[in-house]
Amino acid sequence: MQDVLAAADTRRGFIGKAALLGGATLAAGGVGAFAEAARAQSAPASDLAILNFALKLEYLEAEFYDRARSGVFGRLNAGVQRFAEVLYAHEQAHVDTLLATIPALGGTPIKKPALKFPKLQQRSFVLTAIQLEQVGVGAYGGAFPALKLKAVKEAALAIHSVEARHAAYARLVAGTLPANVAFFAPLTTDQVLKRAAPFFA
Amino acid sequence: MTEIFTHKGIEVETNAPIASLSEELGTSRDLFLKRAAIFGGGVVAAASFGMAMPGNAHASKASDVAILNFALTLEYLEATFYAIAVDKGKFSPRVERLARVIRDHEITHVKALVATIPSLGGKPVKKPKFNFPPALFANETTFLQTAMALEDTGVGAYNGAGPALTLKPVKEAAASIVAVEAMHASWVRGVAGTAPAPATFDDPLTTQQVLAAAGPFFA
Repeated sequence: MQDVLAAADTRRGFIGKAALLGGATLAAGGVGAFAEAARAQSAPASDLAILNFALKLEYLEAEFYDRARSGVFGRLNAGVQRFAEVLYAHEQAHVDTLLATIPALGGTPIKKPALKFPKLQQRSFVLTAIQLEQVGVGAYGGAFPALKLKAVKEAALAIHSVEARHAAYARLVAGTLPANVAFFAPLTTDQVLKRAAPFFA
Repeated sequence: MTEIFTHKGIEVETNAPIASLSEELGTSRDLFLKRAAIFGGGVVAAASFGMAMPGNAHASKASDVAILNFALTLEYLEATFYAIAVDKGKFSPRVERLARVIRDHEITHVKALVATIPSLGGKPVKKPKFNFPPALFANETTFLQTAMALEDTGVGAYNGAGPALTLKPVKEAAASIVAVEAMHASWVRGVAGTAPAPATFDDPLTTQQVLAAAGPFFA
């Protein structure tokens, strides 16, 4: 039952992404926000810098989960494997969406950075996922107040809360309290870079 | 429930005090209040300049206050829902714990908003009257399904309102709350046995959509 629901839910995300990237009929909501952004003539340079910073983190997350689901961190049990597959699909969709959106707003997407990951096994993979997702939540939360274009704000928020869901999902998988604070503090760019630094080669 | 949600160690780790986890992860539960206090000082300073304060600053504050009062209405709804669940529900320890923790978060959100709105020159809305049929708390399934709907709606509401916010500290505070609402949504979904993160994007909801979803719970 859970598998069926998970598959159906993930597919919804993919259909939305495909619609956006194909430039076909555009769905409403978060994806619609990106579409709106893509129709705008150009975004302020500061918005583009933030989107590229987000892209850098999304590249990191996507690669991390791609390695996990491919067995780089060893054999995963069924629940953890599913977690890795779902998060890979989401993060790769975020990468693809940012890659399509940044040029549409007049910017140039950064190239995928060189990445490095420590030796991990199932348990340490999940704990590292918690840290990465929480950096992602803090990064989007911290960047949001500086965004200028309405459509970019909508899109950033639509991703921000998905990263928060991922963080809670990872905590649930790890067996720790999924929501452990009443307020989740935003991070500054420097804080994000410091926490993510070990993963950039 | 599947194996991932009954992972070894869940009892040990979930019993860790919230404060210590908070320290461990470098987050602050009273961030909102701190920011509100800082911002309140800023408002007082600006007001002391009297006519020098630009007219659009007043308009910004008023529109942000309206959004915060809408958020407060939803936080009252959530806090009340979980408070009833804790009082009346006959749930397993796992679901009971979820209800207690989320209730405490929602009450904290209510208090933070009630403290912040006056600092922006606004008046917090009174707690509305709610209508939660006892059947919602009769078993874990109906409770979790309702909680899921409320949390997903909360996420959509903040995501929908966020872009209209004008003041930086209010934006920061809203982001720090919506992240937690999303964590609640993910948690409830996981415990209910459905996908914690069901989509690539969390669609923003309009005020009308939020009212349509939450409307049945207002008396």
